Amino acid sequence: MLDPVPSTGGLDIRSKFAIFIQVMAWTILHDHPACQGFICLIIIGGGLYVGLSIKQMLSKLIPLAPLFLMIMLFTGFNSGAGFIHPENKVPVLTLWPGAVLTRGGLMLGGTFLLRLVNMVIFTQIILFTTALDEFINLFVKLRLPPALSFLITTAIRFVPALDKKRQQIIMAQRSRGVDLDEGNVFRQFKARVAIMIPLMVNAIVIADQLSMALMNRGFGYGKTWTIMTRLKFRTADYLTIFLSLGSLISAFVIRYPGILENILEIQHLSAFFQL
Amino acid sequence: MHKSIALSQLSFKYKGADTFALTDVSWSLNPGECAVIMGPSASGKTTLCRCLNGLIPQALEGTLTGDVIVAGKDVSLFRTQTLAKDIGFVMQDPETQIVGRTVFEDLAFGPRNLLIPAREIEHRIPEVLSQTGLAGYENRFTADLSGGEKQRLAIAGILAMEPSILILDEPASELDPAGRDNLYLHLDRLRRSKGLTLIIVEQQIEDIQSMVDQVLILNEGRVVEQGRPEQLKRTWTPPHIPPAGPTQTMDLSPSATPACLEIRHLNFRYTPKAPVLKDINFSVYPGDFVALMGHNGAGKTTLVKHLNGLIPCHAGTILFKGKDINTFKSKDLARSVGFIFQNPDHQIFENSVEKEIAFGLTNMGYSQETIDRTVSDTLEKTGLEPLRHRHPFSLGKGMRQMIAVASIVALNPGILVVDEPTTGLDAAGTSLIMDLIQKLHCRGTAIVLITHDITLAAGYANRLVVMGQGALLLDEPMEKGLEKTDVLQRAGLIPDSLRACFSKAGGFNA
Repeated sequence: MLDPVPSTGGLDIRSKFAIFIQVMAWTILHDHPACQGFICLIIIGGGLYVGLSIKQMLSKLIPLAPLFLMIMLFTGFNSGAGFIHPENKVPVLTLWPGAVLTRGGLMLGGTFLLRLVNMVIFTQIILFTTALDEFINLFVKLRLPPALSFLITTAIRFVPALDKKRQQIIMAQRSRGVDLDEGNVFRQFKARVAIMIPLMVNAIVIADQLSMALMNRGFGYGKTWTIMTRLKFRTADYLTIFLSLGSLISAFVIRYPGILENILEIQHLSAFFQL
Repeated sequence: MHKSIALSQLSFKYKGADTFALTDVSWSLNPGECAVIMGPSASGKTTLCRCLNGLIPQALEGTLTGDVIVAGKDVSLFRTQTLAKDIGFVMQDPETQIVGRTVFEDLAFGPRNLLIPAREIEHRIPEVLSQTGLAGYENRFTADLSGGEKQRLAIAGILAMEPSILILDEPASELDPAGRDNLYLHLDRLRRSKGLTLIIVEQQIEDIQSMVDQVLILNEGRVVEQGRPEQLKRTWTPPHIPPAGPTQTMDLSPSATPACLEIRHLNFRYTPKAPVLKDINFSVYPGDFVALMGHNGAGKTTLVKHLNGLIPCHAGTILFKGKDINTFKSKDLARSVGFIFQNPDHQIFENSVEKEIAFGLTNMGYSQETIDRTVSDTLEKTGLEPLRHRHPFSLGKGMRQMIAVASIVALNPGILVVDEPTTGLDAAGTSLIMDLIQKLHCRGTAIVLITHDITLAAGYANRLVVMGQGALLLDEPMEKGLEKTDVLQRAGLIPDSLRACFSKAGGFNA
């Protein structure tokens, strides 16, 4: 028998969401790419700890590479927002007048890119370490209707099934000489159509089959269903919630030190956290 | 005693269809009996199954007339979900029926919907796993299971709901012979121990005849014959009968001619702990018709995906006409090593048969004149000329598979790899595909055919290569290979139930 479902030390799904919220708060509130990079390293470390390999993490990021490139180009050449300190406006590369790559632009691009990487990998960690049942239990706890809960969880199941189909279709078309990266734009577009059309046809078939399979297995028999495991908080969960809350507050205090200055009636805290 | 199934003058026409999928079907089955539904493609077998559990007309619209009483219930008065308590239906494709991330989650899904108490579910799961030969699989990820294991899981998922009637639509279509034998053994045991009524859609019943009480033969939606298997006076088109022996049209002795494809010390693993291919050494010669066989998960498909670069070769060497295939562009390799997949719908995307066949040629950069000539030639050779302007998706699966084959044939590859091309096809469809492959072989194309059907292999191929657990177990001329019954049995190609017959006969051909 293989190893059971990977775990995060048996944390409750609510604790995982608490970690998720504070990590997202840090990544959204703080703009400096160094800060994002630091968070990214922590998340990757977390991923490795729960049993994800670098290859698995990269597999989710590589398809987003064109988006990453666009982010870097768009923000790199458009430094109107973000890092507007004079030294960040220094041109790094001038293609032609008006098309200037700046240090600030690259920093902003790096921030956006790392933010996306953080969200993708962290979501991957949660999906990897959480059983479908735990999601459903959480939705039940949040009093969401069972049909809605299952809709979300089935989507989680449907996406990998469709992705597998996509890989099979790419292989079938490659065996007919389709090369997604060769030729001019028109040929590349045509090559993608050869993937998209069978994929759409197969997606409709899968959705149709899935709905019949669900009915065959009694989905919708009643308004509820058997709860197999109850969500249960343990010491590790209380500790996680406590630390996450502390981290969340720190994220806000460091980002908006004025709030703490007003509450505690102290001065110069802003200068202390200035990056 | 009620009948488990009582159909009276059942007719059904799908919404928008011109003809009836089922016409005037009357049939009954007693509790605890096993019935097999047979018939050619599009004869109404799957439609009948859908009528039995209420998917028709609840999920699939159309015109339904007649009475359908199953487990004492009129299916038109109950929801499919309610009927699921009594009637289990395992559809053809196991992939779309698995909803859980782990085996346990998946098996619990049905009983949970039926509000079975958690303790009872926990008790049922190991039981159904053992009944389907998956004992100990509770924590396995469903995504990591092999095709055969997924098929058994789909059955276990329905069995966990403890229905009194179990309908299975071609449940063994993707299993190797040993797996098929094992599955039917379990189903028969269940029927005997629990009084389960079984309705099975199957293309052949020779090996399961002992467990079958009734056979229902459909053709074009009508019952053409029904009764006990031994009482049937006539049958529908018999299962595909391959030619008496392998094609010997090529006068090329493998030892005398250089190999067109050589694999040396090929190793491959998807994950570090699980090698899929172990030190494979294997060559394909001009004139070869190789049957590549082995149990589910033996590594056959992984091996052949290396042959045209679908999986890059890292550990080991593959030479095509003496040149490392890693140096070929994928386009050039596709022209030399054609690949036909099991599911034609993975490649069809054009809106006419001729455009579909022309697509590969356009990709190769041929002139319009050459493309037109080759397309016409291929349409004629494959008998698809009358369908030239038809939309591929308006045709049946057999024809779509034929189009997929034709689109590869048009590229005129020196080697053609065919991965279980006849799965899910009836005798007519199988003949159509295999005859075309045979014609190609006669014209000089070396063929590598993956199949679980040893009769098909023996009928067409001149060389038998058997894989087991990622290694080559046998590579012999077909006649000699078939005599190695111990290897064939070890590779799951001869089910236990037929082993004695094989041994007595001194091999397959005897």
